[in-house]
Amino acid sequence: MTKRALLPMVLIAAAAAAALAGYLLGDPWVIWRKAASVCLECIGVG
Amino acid sequence: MARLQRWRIARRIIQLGFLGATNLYLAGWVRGAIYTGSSKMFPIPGLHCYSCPSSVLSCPVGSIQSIVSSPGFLGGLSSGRADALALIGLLGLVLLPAFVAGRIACAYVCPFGLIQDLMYRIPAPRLRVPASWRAGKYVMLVLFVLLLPMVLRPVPLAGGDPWFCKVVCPAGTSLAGWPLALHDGGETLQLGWLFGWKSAVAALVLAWFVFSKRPFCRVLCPLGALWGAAGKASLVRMRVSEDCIDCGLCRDVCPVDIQINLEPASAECIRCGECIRACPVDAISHRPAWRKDHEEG
Repeated sequence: MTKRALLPMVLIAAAAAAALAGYLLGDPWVIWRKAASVCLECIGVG
Repeated sequence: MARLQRWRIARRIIQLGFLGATNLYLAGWVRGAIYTGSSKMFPIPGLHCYSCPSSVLSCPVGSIQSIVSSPGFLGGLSSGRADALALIGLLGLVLLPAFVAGRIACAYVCPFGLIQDLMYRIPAPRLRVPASWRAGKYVMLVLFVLLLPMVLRPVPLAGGDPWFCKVVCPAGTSLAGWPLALHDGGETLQLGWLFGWKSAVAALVLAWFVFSKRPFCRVLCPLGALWGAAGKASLVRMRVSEDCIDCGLCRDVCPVDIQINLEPASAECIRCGECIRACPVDAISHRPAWRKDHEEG
């Protein structure tokens, strides 16, 4: 393991930890609520 | 060049495999409806509208905008904390592949990348995209995905708009807007000036795919901007050895038109590996950061 590999390894671990914490402690259904209904802005109506 | 062709075919098969795996709800195209299962709380590593009838995952760019524009995010409401945590979780998932290998998902997963790769195979005059235009995608990310949705609200506690989706995104128009509008036939969807604007933008961008290499990825994609910046510190990077003869073949085959020996740490590189297979002296390689002979990138 070199010093150059340390930063990416830390970032990968941090991203994985953020994903876990965010989905477990936050409200991921806020993402679902938007994604599971037709996005009027995306299709150019809203 | 035979090994480059084999590699391209393999990459195309992987791209098509991901396209199929993330678009399992084919009935949506017949019904003119979208998938509503719980898998839509997870983002696809690529740009793919969550209102595309067959999509079973969410669009990361659309999801980021929907959270930062929610009423509670800046308004001090109790839902703001849960929204912020959801955003952290979403960003964690989105950035994970970039910290491993930069924009690799652009090369192998993103459906819009595949469309660009295929459309560039249509015989036509070729147009080079000026390097200075690359900055456009950072403007898209900062202004249209983050700042405008977060700040521009009709009244202080109301929600904002997803401005990138609303005025720019050609993926939303072409893969969701057009098919849903066609199916609806003007019965419920009120198509007005915004639909006309978005259709014009989408038509122009799609036409551009025929003449330039992956122009959307290089100039407009906010996800590409995010992944390109994160990829600067990725675990797997590009390396060009001293054997390089500066022949320029790497640029000829590169789907994003970069000359890897001149910019091995480029934020544009999608780590597709085509230059590695095209190099006549085997001077280019993917190199994990833990290898001690790492020289570039």
